[in-house]
Amino acid sequence: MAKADLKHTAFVTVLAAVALLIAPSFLETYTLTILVVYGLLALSLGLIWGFGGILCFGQAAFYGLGAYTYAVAALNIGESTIPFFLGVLMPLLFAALLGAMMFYGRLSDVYLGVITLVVTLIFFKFMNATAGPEYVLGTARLGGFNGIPGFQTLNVPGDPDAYILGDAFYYFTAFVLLLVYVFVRWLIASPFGRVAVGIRENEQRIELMGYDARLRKTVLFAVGGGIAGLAGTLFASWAEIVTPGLFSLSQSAEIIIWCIVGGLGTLVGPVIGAMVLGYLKFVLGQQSVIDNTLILGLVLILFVVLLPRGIVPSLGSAFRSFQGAIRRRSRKTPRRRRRRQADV
Amino acid sequence: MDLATVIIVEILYSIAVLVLISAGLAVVFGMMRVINLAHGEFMMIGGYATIVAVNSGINIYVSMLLVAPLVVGLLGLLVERLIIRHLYGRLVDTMLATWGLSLFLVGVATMIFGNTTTGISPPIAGFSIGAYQVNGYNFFIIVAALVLLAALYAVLSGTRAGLVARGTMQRADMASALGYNPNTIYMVTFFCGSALSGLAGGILAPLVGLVPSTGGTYIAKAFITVISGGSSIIVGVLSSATLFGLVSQVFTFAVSPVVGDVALLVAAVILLRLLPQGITGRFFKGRM
Amino acid sequence: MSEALLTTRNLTMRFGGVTAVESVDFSLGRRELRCLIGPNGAGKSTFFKCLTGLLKPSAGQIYIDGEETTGWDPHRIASLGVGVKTQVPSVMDGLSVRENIWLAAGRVHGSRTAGRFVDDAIDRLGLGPIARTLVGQLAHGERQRVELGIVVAQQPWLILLDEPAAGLTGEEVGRMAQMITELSSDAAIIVVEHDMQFIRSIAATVTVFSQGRILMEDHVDAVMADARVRDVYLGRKG
Repeated sequence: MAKADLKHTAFVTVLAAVALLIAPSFLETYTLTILVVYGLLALSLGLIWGFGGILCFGQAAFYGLGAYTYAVAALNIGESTIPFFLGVLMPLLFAALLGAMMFYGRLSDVYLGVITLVVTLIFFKFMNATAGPEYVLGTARLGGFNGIPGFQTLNVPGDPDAYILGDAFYYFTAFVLLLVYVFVRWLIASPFGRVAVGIRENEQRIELMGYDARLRKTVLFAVGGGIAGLAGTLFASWAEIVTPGLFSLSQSAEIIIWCIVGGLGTLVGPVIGAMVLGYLKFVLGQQSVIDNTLILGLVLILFVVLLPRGIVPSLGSAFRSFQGAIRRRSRKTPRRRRRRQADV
Repeated sequence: MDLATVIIVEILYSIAVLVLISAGLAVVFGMMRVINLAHGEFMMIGGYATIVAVNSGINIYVSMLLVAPLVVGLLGLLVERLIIRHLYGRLVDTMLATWGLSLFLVGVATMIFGNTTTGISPPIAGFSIGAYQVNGYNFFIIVAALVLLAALYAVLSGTRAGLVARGTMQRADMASALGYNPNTIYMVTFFCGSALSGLAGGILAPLVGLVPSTGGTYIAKAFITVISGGSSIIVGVLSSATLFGLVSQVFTFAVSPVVGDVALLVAAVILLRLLPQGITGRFFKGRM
Repeated sequence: MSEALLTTRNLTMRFGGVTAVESVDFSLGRRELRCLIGPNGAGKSTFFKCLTGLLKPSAGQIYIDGEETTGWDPHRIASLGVGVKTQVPSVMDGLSVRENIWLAAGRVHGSRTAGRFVDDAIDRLGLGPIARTLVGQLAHGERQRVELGIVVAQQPWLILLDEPAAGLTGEEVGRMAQMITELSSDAAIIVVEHDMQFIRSIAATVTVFSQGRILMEDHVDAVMADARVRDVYLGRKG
């Protein structure tokens, strides 16, 4: 099992690396960078929702928190290395705290949805209301709905004047995505990940086996928060401004849509979903005939009603049944074997 | 003394608003275990329906009390047939699909009405209590919420349809056991819930500058009020609306409206944390 | 006291105004095999859930292997070495049989050595041919066996089984009885069961519950001969 996993991970990573390397010949790296950031963000929810069964309506909270943490720290410090790590650490700790509160309270699905949604809204409302000069963190003014502009973007560690921009920033972001993908695959294949999947399937049984499901869910939730924060940090450096819109409901909805469209229970699915829909949004943004939100909404409805498993798993099982049909034809007496749907 | 009166009126008003915006969602949730995340957009459409009707010369009370509920009710019927019907019993999926619907409707409204603020002026003038100016329309809202609750109570406890409805709330298979077609019941329920959303949108239309994204500000509060409220539509909504209305107004007076909003949300988080099995926790026993 | 592996003292569980379990003093010896019977609503399942930690008792104490476990969470009780099989098979439908059992073994033995215990449990329960099948696709009897496999792989010294024979075919019931007898050579077992035939075939000591209290405790034959038991249980069942 571990060997097959390793092979699979290596295969996907190499394939993705090649795709990410040749992509700049088709699209500007500026656009590609944000698509990769979206992919990373989708990966964070794909992990906790698809493998831990935790549906978070407020993944945007950690994304925004990462972006704001980075911006505020970068303004205060003026060099990007520490802010970069803070941008991951803060959302991770916050997610751990929030997760502990929810999971140790044994909140069920609907409550989880409400609370994560509400927390995101609190951030959104609060950040929008910080226009006054009294909202200052160190030298950084939070700036209300105008957001925070003009902070130090990513630089080579130790050298604040050596900015990582343009193509270099794209390759860095792409590398981060691959790195996180490998990390998440490792996490899922580890005993911790197997238990997480067990919790998704039947939390009570896992408890009766002697595992503390609450602790494990909290840890998983925190890891997801950290990855979302990482995406936010990269976003801040890409956009060179952070605004309360990062915490908006439509941002949260988008992340969920990416996962649904790409396919839950897979990791590649959400990433692809995010990139395809992100690109679609980019293309749609260049025309004004049809409203962007309308399309996104329609996509979500259609997928939930018609293809609730998402693209990647559906393609996967279609491919397998096709394979099976061929094998059956080539062999007279096929060994009937029901297989479990592979985790892509 | 005057200040106290004003504060009490404001608190009652904010409770009434919460009751109005939650009623439609509560009916649908209580009866069908469906959370309609497009509820806010239903209200937004009710608002637009009212404004369009008023602008084309229809009396404002007719517009908001009849036109808006009817338009949104019919829309709800369409939505139930096209989307919700396929997803019964799948709570999370319905939430996601209606979230998609919510985005879709925002998009449609943006294309039709543009991303600009429209509004109508309240039909009741303000007056003063002592040194304080009070919005006269606030009283209308309070009365409307009271009438709505009374009507809901009358329907649920006094009519045959209400009895069937209460039966369905207790047990979903009850209605079919009694020989009623659950399909019809769900359709009617969703129509009524949507109409209530439209009504709320209509009544609140004179108070807000309406933009296509207005729904977003309603849905969170409605969602929280309903979920914290619990199994009984009327008592649940009334109790949680009272709690949250009180909290948000107290903080609005003490600090600022934004802090009031944030306080409401924080109160909701604390409430849900303290009642983990919660009032609604009982709902999902055995099904989740 | 030192003889007993599991004791309850004054154990009481109330739901609102209803007292489902009332001041139950119960004691189970090491490697003892005990059946709990009683008519529906007698409180045996509630009592069972208090032992596993799925319910927190309203009053009284539970001691397992000398430790007071009253009010503990299920995972802490399970970590002591207690294996539980619930009434409706509680398994992970989206995982294969092997993965289900691996998770159980991994908790006790660590992920490196778990494989051996998984293979052993699969062999003992004859799950080999379906080891890679998703549990969600299995028939009821097979799911019951998978859940027992989960319990076996934990290598518990106290096993709690809630209606293990429910919904099984005649042949499967026989195999289940044999399995339980085998397990009882290494562990103490409590079985909640309706089926008297089944209880006879594992020839156990029986505790009879009635209206939340213990009515009597004796060997199965004596219990079945008892007039009071016939009144509350067999008689009523017709």
